[in-house]
Amino acid sequence: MRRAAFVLIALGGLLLSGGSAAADRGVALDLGRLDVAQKLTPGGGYRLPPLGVRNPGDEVTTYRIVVSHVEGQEGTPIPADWVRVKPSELTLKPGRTQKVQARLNLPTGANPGHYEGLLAAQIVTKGKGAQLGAAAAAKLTFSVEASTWLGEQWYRIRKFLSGHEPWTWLIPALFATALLGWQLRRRFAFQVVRRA
Amino acid sequence: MTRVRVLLLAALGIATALGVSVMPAYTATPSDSGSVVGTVTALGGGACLQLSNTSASFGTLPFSTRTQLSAAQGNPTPSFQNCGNFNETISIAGTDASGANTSWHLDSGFAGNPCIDARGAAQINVYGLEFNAPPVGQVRITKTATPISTYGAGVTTPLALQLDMPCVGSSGDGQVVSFSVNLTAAVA
Repeated sequence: MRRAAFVLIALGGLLLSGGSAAADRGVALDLGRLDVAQKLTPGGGYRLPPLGVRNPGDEVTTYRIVVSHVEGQEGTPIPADWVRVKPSELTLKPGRTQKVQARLNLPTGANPGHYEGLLAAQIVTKGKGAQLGAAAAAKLTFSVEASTWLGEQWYRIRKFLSGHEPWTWLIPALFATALLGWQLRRRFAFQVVRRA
Repeated sequence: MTRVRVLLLAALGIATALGVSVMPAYTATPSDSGSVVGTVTALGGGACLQLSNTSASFGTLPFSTRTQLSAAQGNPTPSFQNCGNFNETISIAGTDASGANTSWHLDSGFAGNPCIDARGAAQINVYGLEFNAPPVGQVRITKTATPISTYGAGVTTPLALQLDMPCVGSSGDGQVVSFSVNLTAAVA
C-alpha cells in the first residue's frame, strides 16, 4: 500500500455560502457560576436558578445546553444525566436572550462528595468538514452527603475496597482457596504418584 | 465441630467482602418532586465567546508514512474573542473524525509519527490535531476539554489549527472527513 491516498479536509463553512463564512457566531450567558451552598442528598430533585442564553453574534444560531467538565478540575465530574434542562436546545436571532431552566436530579445511589462541572450553552455546528464550535459555560458546584450515617459508612467501605483493588478481592480469594484446600486435606486422603 | 462453624463464618465473611467489592452501586432516578435550592450563589456577568473566521481549509492531503508526517495548517486562521466583561478561561477539545465509510480516532499520544504508537505498535485510523494560540504556543488537542489560558475582556486571539493525517493504510481515501474543535469559555 505504497500509493499515496488523499483525503479532502475542508472546514464546514467553506461548503456553505460565502456570507455565512464571514459571519461571527457567538454565545453568552448571564451567570458566571452556580455554587450550591446547601448539602444535597441522594434521591433529591433540585431546581437551579434560570440561566439566560444570549446570541452576541450576527447570525441566527442554534444552541444546545450540555454538561461537561474540564481536565484537571478538583471536584468529581457531574454526570450529564443528573442535569435536565428545558429547553435543551434553542435557536436565537442576533442579540436575543432566552432563559433555560436547569434541574438537578440526584439518583438514590449518588456517591457523597464534592461535584464540579460546567453548564454550557454550545453552538450546534452543522455541515460536513471540520467545524469550529464555541460554548459559554457557568461553573456548577455542589456537595452530596449521604442521607444516613449507615449510608456514609457503606460508601466509605466501598470506596476503600475499590481504591485498593485488586488486593481487596485477591487476598480474600487466596484465603478462601487456602481454607478450601485445608478442609479437603483434612477430610480426604489422596496421594499423587508417578505412573509406573 | 466448633472449628467447622468458625471456618464457615470466616468463609461467609470472605464471600461478603467479595460481594461488596464487585457489587455495583444501586442507582435509581428519583421522582420529579421538586424542591428549590434556596442557597445558591449565582454570580452574574457570565461568559461570552465569539468566533470569527470559523471557516478554513486544510486542503487535500496524503496520508502520513512511517518516515513522513503529513500535516497542514487550517487556512485562514480562525480567531476567538472574549466578548464578556470578565477574565475568561478558554478550554479546547476535539472530536473523532468521520466520513462516509471511515472513522479516525483523535489521539494526542503519537509524537511526530502517527504510524507508530508510544509502545512501537503500528496504528491506523488515528489522527492528531494541534492548536497554536498565544500565549501557549503549539499544543495537541485532546477529546477532554483542556484549559488553554485566561483571556481578558475584549481580547481577540488567533487560533491556528494543524491537522496531522493518519498513517497509510487508514480508511477515508478520497472522502471529506468531518470533525469538530470546540472552545468553551468560563468566567475565571
